[in-house]
Amino acid sequence: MSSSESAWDVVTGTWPGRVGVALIALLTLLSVVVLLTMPLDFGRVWNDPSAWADLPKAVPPVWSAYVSGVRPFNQQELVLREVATGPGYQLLESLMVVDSDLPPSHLVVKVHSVSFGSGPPAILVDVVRPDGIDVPIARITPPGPRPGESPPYVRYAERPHRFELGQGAEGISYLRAELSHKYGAELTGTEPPASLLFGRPDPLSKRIEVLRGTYAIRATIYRSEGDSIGSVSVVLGGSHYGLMGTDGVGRDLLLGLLYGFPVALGIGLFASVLVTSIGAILGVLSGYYRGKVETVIQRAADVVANVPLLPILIFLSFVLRPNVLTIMTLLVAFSWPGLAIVVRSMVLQIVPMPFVEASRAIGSSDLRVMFMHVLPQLGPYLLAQTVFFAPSAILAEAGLSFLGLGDPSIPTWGQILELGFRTGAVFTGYWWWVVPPGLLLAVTGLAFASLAMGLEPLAAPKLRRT
Amino acid sequence: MFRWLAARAASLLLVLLTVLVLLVVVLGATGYSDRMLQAIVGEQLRAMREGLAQRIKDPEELERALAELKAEMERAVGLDRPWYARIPETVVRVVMLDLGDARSARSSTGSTRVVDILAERIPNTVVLVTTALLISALLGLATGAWLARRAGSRVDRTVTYASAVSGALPSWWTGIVLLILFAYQLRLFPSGGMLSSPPPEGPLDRALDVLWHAFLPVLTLVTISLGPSIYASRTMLLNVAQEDFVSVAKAKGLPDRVVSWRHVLRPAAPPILTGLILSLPASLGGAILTETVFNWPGMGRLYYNAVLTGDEVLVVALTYLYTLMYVLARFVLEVLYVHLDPRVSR
Repeated sequence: MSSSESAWDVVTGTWPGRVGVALIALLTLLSVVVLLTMPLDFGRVWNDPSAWADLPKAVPPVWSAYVSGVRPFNQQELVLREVATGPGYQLLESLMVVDSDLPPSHLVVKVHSVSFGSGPPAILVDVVRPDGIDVPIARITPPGPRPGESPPYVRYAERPHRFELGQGAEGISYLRAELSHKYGAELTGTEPPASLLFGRPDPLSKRIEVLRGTYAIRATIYRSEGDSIGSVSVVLGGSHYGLMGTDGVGRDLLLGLLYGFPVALGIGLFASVLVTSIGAILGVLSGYYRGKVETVIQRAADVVANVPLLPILIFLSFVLRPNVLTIMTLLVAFSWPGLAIVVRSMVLQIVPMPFVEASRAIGSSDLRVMFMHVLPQLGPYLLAQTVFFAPSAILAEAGLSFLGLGDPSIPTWGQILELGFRTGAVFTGYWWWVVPPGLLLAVTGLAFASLAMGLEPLAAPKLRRT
Repeated sequence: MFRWLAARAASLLLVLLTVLVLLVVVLGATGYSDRMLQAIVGEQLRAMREGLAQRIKDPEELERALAELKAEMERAVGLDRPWYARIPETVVRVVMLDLGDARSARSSTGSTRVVDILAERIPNTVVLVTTALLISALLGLATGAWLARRAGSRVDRTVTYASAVSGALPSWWTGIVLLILFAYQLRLFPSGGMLSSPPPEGPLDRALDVLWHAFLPVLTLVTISLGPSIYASRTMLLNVAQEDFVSVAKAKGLPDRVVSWRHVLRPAAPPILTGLILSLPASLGGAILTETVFNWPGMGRLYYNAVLTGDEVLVVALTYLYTLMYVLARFVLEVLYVHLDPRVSR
């Protein structure tokens, strides 16, 4: 378009236009950054629970702790360092200061690559609390030689062995007994293990307070000469996590929400460009050729326009289980009529104009007249329509996802919301799981709708319909 | 006028037929329709097996009789023919909602028949959607008129902008936010359903209980349609208010009230109604999601559960019913339109 400069002025001349341009620019920028920094097959990572095993499940974002005035326990992984070694044993240790108001959500001992010659080594992990109670928390022995296997035997090389606190309850029942003895409090037995390990029962309030101070986490390894242990580390789950918290699987919602930016924008652009093209072409054809072509296209448009979209999309997604591109194509298949009807009425006004007649007179082909002369006249209007349709596509995908009919291989905002809703996030008060994805959908919708409003003055002269 | 209405009715019937054929073809081509019919046959066979076993004692003969019966029944429902040869019957089956039993959904009386389940769900949805639509139409008209009198003011521009973009917001998500806020934080409204359990005694208390439960879902649905309704009313009233005949009416010295009612509102009614018609699919779609959010025992919540449990018969029946509901509502509005716009009848 030759008048792009003035078009820019028109759009940025109104404040909806300015809001729209600014928001779209921000969304695009974020999408580009995400595409450059995150793996393209992030969907696979997202759907792999083992990738998120170390993270706490369904905890709020870190900043929300500060908002409510508590010091959160921050997620950390401590690699135990060797402090002593001797014939047949090795002692690893790491110190940690706890000064938070909340206990860790969980504790996992991880052992990487163990290699041994004859019998497997034994790894005993214990925690020495500031009040002197020494709690044995894990006893890990890799499986011994299998028949037909020759030394050295290597274990836990590809994936670390994980031992979650509370799996074997002995250490915890010992701790429970010690705590009742020392603090004279009754324990119900339902307390989360990590809150006991880092806690002090208050007999008056009947609550478990965080026991602040320095903890020593130790691993004693009994092994034969020549055996080696790659590393022993301890993951302490945060009481809060990251910028956006985690979902019920422990997935970092920040990553899922970020990945949603290019996905949402892609869905919106793909569907709206496709629907505008189809609607415009059918509209031009029926307005230009009139007669039978017009009757067929306009009748079809009248019927398809009246098909209620969401029920049909639900049905088709339910039966066909399509991927996201197919979902969008189906959406387009039922969304073109509105545009085809309006474009036709606009073409009817353009065709009698002198320049069209002139082009025909010098023998231009119908195709040339339609696409070189008629269609460009509709440019601004079609541009506005493309922008206008994008949020409908994004919302339709979100709606389908919310009903559990999304494409599971690609995480979208709608799917995050759906999982949260289905696992009862609304009822359990996990606001960070359901509010942000919806808010992002709202902001994206607002961006496109504002931009469309800003573009309206460009398209308006031709918007007058009968 | 009748010719015009007949043409609209024909077009809407064509919509219904298109959707039906689409349903049936997709079901047939994907093998769903075979599975559904086999399930119906299997169900009937199980019921007849008992009776047959009473009469035929020899197990081999019983099996043979059952196989014969099965073949006969499969012929009767058309399983011996390819799906495309069955299209007309299947269309009739869907239209009559003769789709057999739902997989896991039950009616309140424990029936698994699709018809029974749907019969008690439909009114709940209709009540919800029409209440919300009426409220937003009236509220939209009032606000639109109020704004049209202040056209160009800061209030007008702000509200118009908000109304225009509100259609691009995920309104069911608004429902979730309302739920978190009013049901869980403030505990002012129930978190879902239509009646408390146990339901209160007496018709008045019951009605009040339903109203209390309906408040948040209706509020959500109103937020879906209020924006477009305000926008359409304001724009149309403004267009009419600038017409010459309005100036003439004012110049004649007619009272403001007469001018607004007779000269502005009356001519603006048809296009406003058109706006309402155009927002109908969005309201219906929004109702599916809103019912899901609020566990409102209507067709939308049933849809969600059917999708979740893979209940294909219910999904088919509901898709058809939603189309039917839309087509009917659409036709009612068309009739109303004809009454409001005398030009159409000429």
